[in-house]
Amino acid sequence: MKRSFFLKRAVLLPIIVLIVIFAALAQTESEIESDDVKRVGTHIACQCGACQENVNCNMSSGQCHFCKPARTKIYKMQRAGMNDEQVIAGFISDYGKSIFRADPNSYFWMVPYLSLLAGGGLVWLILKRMRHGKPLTPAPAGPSIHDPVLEKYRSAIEHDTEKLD
Amino acid sequence: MENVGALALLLAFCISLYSIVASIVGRLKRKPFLTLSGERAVLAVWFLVSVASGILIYSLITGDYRMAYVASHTNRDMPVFYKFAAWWGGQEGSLLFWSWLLSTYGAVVVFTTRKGHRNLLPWVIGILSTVQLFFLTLNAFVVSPFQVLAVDKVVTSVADGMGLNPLLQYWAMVIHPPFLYLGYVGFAVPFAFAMASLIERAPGDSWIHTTRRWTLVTWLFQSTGVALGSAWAYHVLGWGGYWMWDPVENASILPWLAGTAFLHSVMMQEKKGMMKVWNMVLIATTFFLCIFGTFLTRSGIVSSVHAFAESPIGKYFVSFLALGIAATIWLILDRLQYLKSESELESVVSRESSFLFNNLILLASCFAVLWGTLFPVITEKLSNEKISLDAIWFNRLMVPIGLGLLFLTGVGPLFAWRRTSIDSLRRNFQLPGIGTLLVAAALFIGGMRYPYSIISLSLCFFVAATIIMEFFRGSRAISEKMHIGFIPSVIELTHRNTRRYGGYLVHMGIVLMFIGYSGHPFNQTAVGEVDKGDVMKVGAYTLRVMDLTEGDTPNYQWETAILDVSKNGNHIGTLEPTRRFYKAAQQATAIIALRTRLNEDLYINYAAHTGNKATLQAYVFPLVDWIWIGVLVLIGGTLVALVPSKVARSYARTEVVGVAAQKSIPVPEADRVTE
Repeated sequence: MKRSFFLKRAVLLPIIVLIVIFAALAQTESEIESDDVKRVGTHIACQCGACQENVNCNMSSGQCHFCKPARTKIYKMQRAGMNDEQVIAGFISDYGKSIFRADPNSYFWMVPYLSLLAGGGLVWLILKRMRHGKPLTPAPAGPSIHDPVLEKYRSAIEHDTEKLD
Repeated sequence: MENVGALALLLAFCISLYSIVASIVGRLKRKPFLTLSGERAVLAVWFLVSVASGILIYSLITGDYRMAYVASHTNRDMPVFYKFAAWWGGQEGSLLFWSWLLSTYGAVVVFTTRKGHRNLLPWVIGILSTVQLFFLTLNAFVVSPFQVLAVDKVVTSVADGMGLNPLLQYWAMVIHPPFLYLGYVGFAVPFAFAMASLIERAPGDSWIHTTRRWTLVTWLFQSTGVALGSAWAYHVLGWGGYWMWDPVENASILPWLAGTAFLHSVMMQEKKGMMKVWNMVLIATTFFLCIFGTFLTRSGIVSSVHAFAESPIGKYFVSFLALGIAATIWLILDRLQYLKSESELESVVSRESSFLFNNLILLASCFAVLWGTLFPVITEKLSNEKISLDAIWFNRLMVPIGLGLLFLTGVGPLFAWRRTSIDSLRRNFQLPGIGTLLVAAALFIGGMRYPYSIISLSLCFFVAATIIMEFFRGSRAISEKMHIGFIPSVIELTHRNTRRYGGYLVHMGIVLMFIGYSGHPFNQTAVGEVDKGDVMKVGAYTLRVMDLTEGDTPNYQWETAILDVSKNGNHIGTLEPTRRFYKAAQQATAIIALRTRLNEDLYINYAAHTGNKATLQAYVFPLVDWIWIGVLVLIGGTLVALVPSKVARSYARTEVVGVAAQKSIPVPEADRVTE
């Protein structure tokens, strides 16, 4: 009885250990689709060769024959304690420097916002110029009519034109 | 058959050339019969390009696999619907489609302006025919759709074609390119009228009045095209993105932004006689951005997920753009004296200045998108470094600008022309302003911690409140005056000034779209490999795999996961995401399963099949439906703006009280136009 217990244990133990190891090593889909993996994935260019044709094929979430194994590899490297730079360096050593995609530098931000500022300055200048335009000389005098009723209508028109669409 | 098509294109090329010469010489030499023959030539070009297009369509539908284009973009088992859509599915066919649309627009212009604008029409035809000549050069000599397959100069054929890209075999993708192209090509007409007006030194704004409706229709087509592309991406690509800032998507939004700026800015010219130079610049920018977008899609200069393959046509586009832009700049500079403003700005706090700021933000967005699109190319050229520029970066850049635009959407229309009094500002902004702050506070207290979402939703409230107040005030006045109910009075109000209230509806559509965008930070995702009986969770939803089935059709093989869906423990139905594998193209696509509600979408994609298991990607996308509702309201608003107003509007210009002290430009008696 005791022997059989130890026998069972001798058989079960390695199986349990194996299961635990496999469970630890196996990557679930949610793990290889994690934000940590995708973050690194955006710096790796897909090498499947079909990216131009296949809209689904992008490194951070694609399902092609390169993207998915590459994400699994990223996940494994991260589990092994490698940081982002080390993971990317690993890919560069395997596939060459052309696989690397850098983050945009600060010009990406600066140029549009500086242009917006410059545009704002320009609009301000235009507004200023439009407000203080060229001096006007009086038009040739037309017939002058002084009628209180007409004045009343003129002021009503002035008031209405303020709300004019 | 293909020879007839190629011959038709060659003839169309020659007649386009004739049309340019006849129209311009006829106008310069004052020979009306020559100008008339130039107009007739436009109709002949339309007929010939239609013949060429008809032959290509016939070959696509009947499967003439001797032709390279047919073999590359169709196969025997494709439905006829998609065989027809293959006309614009590839490089050569889509360029022919461009030509056909342009020739159709040209024919419509000739027909609709046959009784007016006799002085402008020859130049309009000359410009449209020049653009046509460029596209016919490509069609006839560079990338002909009528090339046949040959081995050692002997024509041959293949047994079956490669088929249309499976991702394009979707209803929205069938109608998305035509709408977008109708927009792209359509802007050629107001551009041609604007330039014709400059060439003729025509005073006044007759070109604007003539092309206003045309511009609006073109803008509507383009808006619909962009929205359809967005809907296609959401429903077909399998990850729920409706805008990924891909260069080709950007190419479609660039002219839309410039065109939107033009539609606003042109009101300044119509009502105040201001911004004449600016409007010329804007319409030219819009047109050249349309050409640039076509170039971007086809030249292969940027890496895009749905660009056409690299081809030799890039240099032709660059040359055309360079010549066109140079000629336009010269023309505007040469005619500056005829584009002087008729009014002055009376106050900075006015509708006029709000239009200026609106233009600034729209053009800043346009420039930011253009800069972002070309940034990887520029960086690679300068530093030899490749850049990863995905949607996250673009969103960081564009969201603040977009929110600024949303703010102006609410503020702008409430300013009065000329000047806005403090009392008017208080009356218009007090209630919406307080409400906006309360909404922001409520969202924060309710647990929302995404600043952009809080700002966006609060601004949406602000803009919606200002629009509703505008409708309410006007309708109440009409209701009291005419003794009619509130709804009829809203209809009456809108009918009296369709342009203004249609515009408000368009703004409301934009508000609804921003509500949809605000839900983005709250997206939830789950991915899992599942087998029959397995359970997967995403947000409040539980998905139980009831069955995994598969089947075969002549066009594709398919696999479907049948999922039992419950929310918070309550059964709510069954969803069946499917994955198809297209045999001809050897490519898999997703037919996503969608449970759509106003508060959120449950979106499931059958992403892959590994061993016996299915890989499912499940997402919850809050508020996304409001984007599509917003698009429908925007379309509806634009249609309302196209309806003629019940009350004919004539806008009095600022009274002329004097003439400028400096030298003024004399206008010939014959050229004077009564507005």
